[in-house]
Amino acid sequence: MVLKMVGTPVDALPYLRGIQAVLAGYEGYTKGKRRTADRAIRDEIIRAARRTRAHIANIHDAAFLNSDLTMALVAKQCCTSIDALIEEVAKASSGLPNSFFSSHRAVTNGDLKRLIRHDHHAIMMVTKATNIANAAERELTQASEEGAVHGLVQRCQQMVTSATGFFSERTMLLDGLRQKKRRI
Amino acid sequence: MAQAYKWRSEPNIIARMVDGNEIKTWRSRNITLKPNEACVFIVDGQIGPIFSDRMVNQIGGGFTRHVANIFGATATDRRILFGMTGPFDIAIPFSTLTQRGLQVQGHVRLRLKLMKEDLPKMLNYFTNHGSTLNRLNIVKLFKEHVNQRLIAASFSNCDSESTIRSEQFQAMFSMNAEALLRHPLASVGLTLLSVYAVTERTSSEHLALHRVRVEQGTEQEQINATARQKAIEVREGIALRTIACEVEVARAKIRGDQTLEVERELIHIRALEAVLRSEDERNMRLMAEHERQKATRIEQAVAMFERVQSAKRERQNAN
Repeated sequence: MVLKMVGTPVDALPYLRGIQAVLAGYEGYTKGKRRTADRAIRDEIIRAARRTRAHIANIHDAAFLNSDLTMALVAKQCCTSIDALIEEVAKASSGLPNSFFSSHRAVTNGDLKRLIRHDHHAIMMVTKATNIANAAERELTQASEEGAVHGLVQRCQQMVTSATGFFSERTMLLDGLRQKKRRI
Repeated sequence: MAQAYKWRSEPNIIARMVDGNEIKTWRSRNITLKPNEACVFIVDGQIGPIFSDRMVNQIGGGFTRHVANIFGATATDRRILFGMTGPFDIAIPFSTLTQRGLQVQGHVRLRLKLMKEDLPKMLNYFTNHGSTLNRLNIVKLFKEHVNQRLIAASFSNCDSESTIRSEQFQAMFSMNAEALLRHPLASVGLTLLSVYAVTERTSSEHLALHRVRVEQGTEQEQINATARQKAIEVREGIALRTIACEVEVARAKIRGDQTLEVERELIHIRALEAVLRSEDERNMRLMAEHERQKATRIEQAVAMFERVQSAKRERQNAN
């Protein structure tokens, strides 16, 4: 069974535009570009996660040098969460380029919409984590309220953890593409 | 037919720089890059795109490039840099002194990762070193830095073994390592994921261990001796009880025999007693008869005396 040629659904266009704002060249999961799109999304998430990690690493180093060990520990935990996210994304299943097994079914507009919406949300979550990490580093340099940086780093970690969990949902969506509907 | 090209012959190899001109070009050489492998082409000094998780066909260029090479219409310098992007561990040995002069040995365990995007940074290593980077090379590269900047500084603040074994020390060590090693590692494209110190037993700890073992051995011997003593006591008790039982049985047996004898004697005595009682009764009857006869005779004598006296009085009266 060969994948049907499916165009980008109209409903998913706002999300597509949203992704294109951060990832130029992204065209959704159209035929022949499915793996490229998947790779681009994953690379973008890893890139954003690395940016977040760089900010948090700077906070860690600054806190350690200022003997603020609690802050440094929190930052280290956040870095560990980001490493886990990067590993999860880098080693995630990407599906197959063509239908190979007889159990595959054709991609529907609903599948594409779900995938594009999921990509958009995942990228937004990681971008938000990056923004929080950036804000935390800025707070640190401005030597503002002591608990503010701490809270921001913890929020960043929470966002990264959520993103990790949310991203794992993608595998389920891709699995949905590969499985035939079961007859009851 | 295309031949598969393998860049990694053993698991210790982390990265490898391959000269593209060494790959035979007249035959196709394909390579399948797994998700934890990446490669980057450096053509005429320019860094190309990074490939991963895909098959690269004709890594050496194939017949077309072979022909182009003959005519001098291709790049003169082609290098391919391969890297393993999964996390890996290295152990850097150390030997240092604490604040009190106690010698401490062990190794620092570093978990590193080569990010796909950082693969070109590996060129910094291959510029001054051989074409293969394995774990041992990384250890050699950072051994001095780790020992001088990290180990010496961290352990010089420790005053006892308990400090070295504490969670706080490991946390401090990890944070210090993060701060000190991040940039040197990043210069060769490596990301530090985690680090911790594995300290071997110090001489004091060996001594304490020996003391504890000796004490435990002594206590064990004492427990064994107590147990043996108790066992002996139990056996002794059992033996004594057995003897007592046997004595009791023997006594009972003897008592039983004696009882029978006494019973026999009693029967004999009772028989004798009956005989004696009958004899006694007969004697009593004889004595009673004798007394009765005696009394009768006395009465007869008294009566005769009375008759004599009355006769005497009659005669006197008659006179």
